Amino acid sequence: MRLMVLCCALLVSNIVLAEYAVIVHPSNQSSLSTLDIRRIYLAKVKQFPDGEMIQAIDRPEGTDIRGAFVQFFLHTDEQRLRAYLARLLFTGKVILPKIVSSDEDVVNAVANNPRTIAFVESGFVDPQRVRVVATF
Amino acid sequence: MGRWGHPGTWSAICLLVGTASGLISAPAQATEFHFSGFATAAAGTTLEAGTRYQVEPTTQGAYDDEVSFEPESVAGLQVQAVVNERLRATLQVVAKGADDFDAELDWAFISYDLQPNLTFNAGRYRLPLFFYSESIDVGYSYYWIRPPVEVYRIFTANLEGVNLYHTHFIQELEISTQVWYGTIDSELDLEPITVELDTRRNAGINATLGWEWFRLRLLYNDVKIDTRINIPTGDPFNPITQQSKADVTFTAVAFMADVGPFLWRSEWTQADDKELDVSRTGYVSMAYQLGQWVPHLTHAREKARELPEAFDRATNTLGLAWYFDQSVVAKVEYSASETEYRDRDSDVELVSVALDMVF
Repeated sequence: MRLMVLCCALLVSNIVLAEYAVIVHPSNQSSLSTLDIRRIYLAKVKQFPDGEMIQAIDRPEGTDIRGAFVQFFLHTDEQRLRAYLARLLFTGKVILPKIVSSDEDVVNAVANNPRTIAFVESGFVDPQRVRVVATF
Repeated sequence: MGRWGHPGTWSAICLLVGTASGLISAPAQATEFHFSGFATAAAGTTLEAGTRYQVEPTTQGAYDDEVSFEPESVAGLQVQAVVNERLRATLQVVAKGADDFDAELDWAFISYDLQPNLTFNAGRYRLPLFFYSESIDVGYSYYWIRPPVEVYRIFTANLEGVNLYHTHFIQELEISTQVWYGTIDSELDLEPITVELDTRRNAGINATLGWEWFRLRLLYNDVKIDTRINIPTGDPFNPITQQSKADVTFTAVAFMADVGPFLWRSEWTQADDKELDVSRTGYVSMAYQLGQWVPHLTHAREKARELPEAFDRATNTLGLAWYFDQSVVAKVEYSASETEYRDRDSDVELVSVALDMVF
């Protein structure tokens, strides 16, 4: 009986636990909707709802996490996104976000800078140092 | 072939040097530099002897019946200098094959965010006329080798001036508006004749409504142009000069949609010369994405009355884009054009290939 409960608990936690998380600095108490995150990463907004300037961190193209993020929040794929961003970049309308490869470096960057937003594998999230605003 | 000169280049450079020295002396905060670039290697040929197909609007680059690489090959480098969270400068140098790869400073402007959603830009920038006018040199930004020439060969230019860029959200709807005012000095050298085009006033507005991956763009642009045509005679002090003034109004609508694997691109434009001529151009295009492969089909049309006689041209293009690796795409296209002008029909077929990359 106890084993069954444990198994069920494990199963449920596996379902509930999302693979990836969108994180900000703990001092950033903005609630961000899927649409807000989409606009941040399509370079359409420059400020968090509380007025703080945004420094978005992106992940390398071709990684699983980037592919999942682009699909889930931006509703497109990396190939189309690149063409879309090329049109904005080479008309000087946007500055593209910085790309950081390792999840640990991303968490450190967000923990040290109240203006950042990023996405990492959920296993790397340290709730003492960063705040999760969305999972996917 | 003739090329457009840029007498304004030096003023733009001076402006930038001014900004750059400002950046260097700016205290407390380090200026961040962002470098990026794009390149296209393209080749093409028309299929019948003696035929010509113009493809490049700024250089008048055209393919003929022998394979050539110059008309559409291009490379560009961009530097964005972020001075602080409100102020930045953008510099873009572009070298085109049709111009013997002479580097031109095509973009050189300063941006200042008056508000987070309102940016003031001043300097040299590409006229934001049609949907792809500003990124026409960046082949990666569209799935064709070139956006339909019926629409895009009309008028592409860099202007010196100011513009305001505003973004506004109404729930899920996004509205971006750009208002601009500027002048263009250009010279077309058609040995031995030179044509000076002096745009005294180019003012316009465009607005893009976006929802998900649907985009509707509207444009209104009013241009006042002084044209001087200099034809040399035996006497260098006495060339024949013809002067004329024109007032042209452009209106355009673009509708773009990405729905699942389908990509839809369409534009309609009208140029009204008020006294002489009205020309209408447009295209509809559809692509279907199969992973890395994007086959597409486009029908484009250009119609003008009284120029001095009616002109009617239709082109069908079939193409394939292959996104075989990150940031690089290989493209192949076949276009067939039919032109009716002065009671004569002429057909041109073009085959072209291109490799576009961004970095």
